[in-house]
Amino acid sequence: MKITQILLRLRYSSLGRLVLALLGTVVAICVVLLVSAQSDTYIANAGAMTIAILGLSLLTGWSGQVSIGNSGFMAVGAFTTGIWANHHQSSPIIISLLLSILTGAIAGLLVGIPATRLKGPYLAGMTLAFVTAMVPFIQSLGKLTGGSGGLFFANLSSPSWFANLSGDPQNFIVANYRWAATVSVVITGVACYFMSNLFASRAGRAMRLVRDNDVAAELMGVNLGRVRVGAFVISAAYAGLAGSLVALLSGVARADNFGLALSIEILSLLVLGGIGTLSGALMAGLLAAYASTLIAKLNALFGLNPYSNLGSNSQGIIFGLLLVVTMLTAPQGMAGLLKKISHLRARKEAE
Amino acid sequence: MGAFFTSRIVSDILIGAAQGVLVGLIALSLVLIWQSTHVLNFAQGAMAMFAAFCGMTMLEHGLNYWVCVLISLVAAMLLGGVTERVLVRPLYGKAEINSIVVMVGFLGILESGASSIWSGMARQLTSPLSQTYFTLGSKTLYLSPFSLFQIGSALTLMLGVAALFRFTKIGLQLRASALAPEVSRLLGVRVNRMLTLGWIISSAVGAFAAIIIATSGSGLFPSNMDGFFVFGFIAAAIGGLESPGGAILAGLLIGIIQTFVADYLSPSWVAFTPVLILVLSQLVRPAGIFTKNTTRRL
Amino acid sequence: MLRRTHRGVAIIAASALSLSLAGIGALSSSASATGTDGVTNTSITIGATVPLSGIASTGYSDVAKTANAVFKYINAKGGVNGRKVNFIIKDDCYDIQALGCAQPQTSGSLTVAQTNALINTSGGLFATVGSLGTATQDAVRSLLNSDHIPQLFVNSGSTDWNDPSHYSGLFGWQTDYIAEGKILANYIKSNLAGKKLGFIGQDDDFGANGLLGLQRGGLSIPNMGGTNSFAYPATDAVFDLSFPTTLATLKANAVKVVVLDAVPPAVTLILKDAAKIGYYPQWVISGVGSDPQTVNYANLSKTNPGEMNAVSMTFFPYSTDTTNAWNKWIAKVILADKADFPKFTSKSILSGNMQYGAGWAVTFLQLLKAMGSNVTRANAVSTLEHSAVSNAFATPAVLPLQYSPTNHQGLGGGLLVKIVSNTNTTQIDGKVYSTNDAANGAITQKAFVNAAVPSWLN
Repeated sequence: MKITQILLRLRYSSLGRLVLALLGTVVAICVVLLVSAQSDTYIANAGAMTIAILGLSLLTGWSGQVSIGNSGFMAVGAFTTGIWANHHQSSPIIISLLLSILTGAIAGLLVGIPATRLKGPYLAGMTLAFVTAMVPFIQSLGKLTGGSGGLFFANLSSPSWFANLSGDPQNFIVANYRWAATVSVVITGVACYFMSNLFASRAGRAMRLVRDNDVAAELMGVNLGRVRVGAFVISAAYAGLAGSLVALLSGVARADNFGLALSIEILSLLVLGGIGTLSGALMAGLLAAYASTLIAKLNALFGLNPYSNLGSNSQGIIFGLLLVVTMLTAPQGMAGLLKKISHLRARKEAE
Repeated sequence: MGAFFTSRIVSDILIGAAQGVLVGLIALSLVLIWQSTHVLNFAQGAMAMFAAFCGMTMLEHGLNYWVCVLISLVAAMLLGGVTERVLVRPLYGKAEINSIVVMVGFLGILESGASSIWSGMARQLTSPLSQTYFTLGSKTLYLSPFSLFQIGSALTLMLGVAALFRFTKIGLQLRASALAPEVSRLLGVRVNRMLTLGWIISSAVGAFAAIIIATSGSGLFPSNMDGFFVFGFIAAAIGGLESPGGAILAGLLIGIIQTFVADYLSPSWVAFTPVLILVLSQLVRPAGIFTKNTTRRL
Repeated sequence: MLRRTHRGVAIIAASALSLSLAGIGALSSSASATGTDGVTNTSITIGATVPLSGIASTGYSDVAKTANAVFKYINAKGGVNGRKVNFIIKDDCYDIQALGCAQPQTSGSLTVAQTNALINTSGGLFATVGSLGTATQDAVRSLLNSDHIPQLFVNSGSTDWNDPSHYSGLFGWQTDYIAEGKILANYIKSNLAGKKLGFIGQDDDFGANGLLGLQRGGLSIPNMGGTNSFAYPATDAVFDLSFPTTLATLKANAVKVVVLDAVPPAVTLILKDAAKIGYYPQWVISGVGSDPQTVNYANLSKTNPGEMNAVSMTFFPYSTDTTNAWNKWIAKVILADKADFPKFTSKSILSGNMQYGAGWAVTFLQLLKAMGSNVTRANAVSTLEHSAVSNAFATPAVLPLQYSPTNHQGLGGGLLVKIVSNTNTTQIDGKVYSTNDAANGAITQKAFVNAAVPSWLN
């Protein structure tokens, strides 16, 4: 497996990770251009979810702080983008994204400074309170945030050079979906690249040490508070980016979409994918985006009426079962399962 | 004298207290589970709702209200016990995030399950006791037979559970099993049984709260405990997860302050009040207002 | 050495998984979503996003399901002009991703995601028909407009659907909240003159526009937040945090008539809390929140007998009249659809939601018939705007639609009903009122006539 060997070696150097990220992004763009428009919406959403999951992965997996407040930071990012887009229709996307990262980080700092002093359930409680207050808070800001309805602005529409590139320039609807998915894939690639660098860096190792043994970390001169707050801020910045992307993809920023349920979903996906791993975040993001199609197919398989009581609730039941079974049998998630499989394979090869 | 009891302030306190004891009950059940098994039970509200459905839907078949309550409590205890055995016990000693996610998954199963069995329509439960408030002359005294029962039974439950933990042998065994399971086993405590018992008691308390919430408010439907779970969690954090009494008082505090905010400020502000109270309390005492000092210093 | 292999395999597997999942999507839906616009010689594909689950779904899910039953019924008879209606319902949980929502919580608007899924249906989507919600449909207005897909018969009383110059393919269906407010105000001025007024409304455009209608109708009620005029946050329909104090204030101020612009769960709570303090004013309730099959009216019974208990406006003949031809037809259609309505029997009473769903479903069938062989999106829009044609559509509604090139709102009024209990609603004066949004717009009235169901539908 020469290709595998080469790819593996790349992971250990910063340049190598850059090459991997570029390669992955290019492959993903090719996929985007080949598949159907509906698949493109799934891929685009998967990207945003992956970014949110990555942020939480850093916070919970690497610095050991269980937080259920990430959707609140996504809301900050989404509304920053929404407010900016409403006033500056033609500014390039990158500005909205950067602004949202900034506001997400600031919000992360404001919440993180008091929150990271808390441990375990109290931290979770604080983040729970934060996220449940965010929705009514945003809605109370009236005109600025569109009240209970939310903000609406133009969604991403394909520039003409891309439409020409992507095949059928007459079919602008498909071109729009392809453009949105491409933008999402590129942003996700960049986010993954930065996160992989962070995982491999000294700061990342400090986080893990603080998580596993804070006494030892302090003895070694690590500033506990700074590391914890730092993780919180970066996690919130990622969430802000994810929120911004989500807003750009849908053309809508609604507070109701960023409540506790989303936080819980991101946490669940994080663990399903494999906490603390990059590949896990990617797989979980895709799973989230494709979940409704997969379950619709399951419904059809069992001949369930999708509008009946059972049919319209089967997604909830199946997803819940998935979480329970995974936690009890494979707590390392999908990434962990794959590791085990290749373990067994390698052992077989060695024999 | 009458004017005092029907004054706006006292009225708000009474309304808030009735709401607050319910929040306090949820907080109490969360604290019970935390004290006995160190698990954050995200499915607390959903389990309570499901058990309430099991019993209270029998009202439609003509059964007496109190019989239905009994059925719900039995269902809750069964549910709590089985949940502990099947879902929670395999995860003791593992990372805390595992048990959180398991309970989250269970929450989804319960809510979607309830919705598929009983549909999402809200069911009104006719109260056996009148819910009309008493009048003193022409003014309203914000207590009714049902709300008296609500406040009275909730306080009794809370005191009973707190006393159980504080003053009885079983209570001591429950706490010991959570804090030091190995030592407790050596001393002859049936640790596993205690862990299950903690969940059983907690689920019964939760189901009782769910029934009262459904009867006094907007009825029984799959997601009616979601908001109360959040408030209960926040109350537990405010009061301190180590203190059953603290949970109750925090719940009362939230209920009363919320009512004052709704009356004197604006209904739209009510959603923030638990958060603000939590933040304030964390600034004052991060481990909970009523927790004994348990810092670890090197 | 071994560990590195594992990680590599993980990356490869992740990419393989992603490609294969993408492949599932690619294989299952055809290459291009547009090109055809959902019409063939034998079928027409339409869709709607509605709350089938979640916090706002109680009752509302019946609307689209009834429309589905109507379409199934007509399909069983061969469709319209040989075309069967392929109606796809997507659950958007009212775009509130709370814990009760059965859809996976995707980041971003569920309504947008589900609308995209509809747009990308293989074979194309002719139009969205009967999607529900104000904020939800505002969110997809631009998307559907820029894709040139008509957005027909939005289930909401907002005036946002009446904007032909910007959104040519967007049409509402029901009477808007302002017009309803004017008609209710007219009733109050004529029958409850001199009694102190109060108002409780939801803190969004529903409450705001309802109040505006009352004011334009000549009542002097202050804006929400003023004396005896209260707003409640939408979450209070579940939490009941503000109603006790609001009602206490109204009672203390001796308010005798209270107008409610609230959703059914909130109305149930308000009536309950009012009964708790022994407060029984004359309630005047918006049609949105008054359906006796959804609201619990057990707490009305203590008012003096002979006095009106609750007054509301409806677009349909009151549902307890089982002799009404349209009611009978709707019941027949629902009975035939056992799959969607397993519990509906010949003794069941129709709910307002069921009538509503049948209303716009029949309107769509009339539109389809009127288009004849020229079934295109452009022709749909121009047929609806052709008043002579569209205003003559026979539908279950008690008054005709008012579409024109400058009016995309839909109905303009309704029937006033008196609600005595959950099983007893009666007409007040047998008159159908109709008006527009303007303060000086006159209110016309016509006698209500029991209409016949067209034979081709029966």
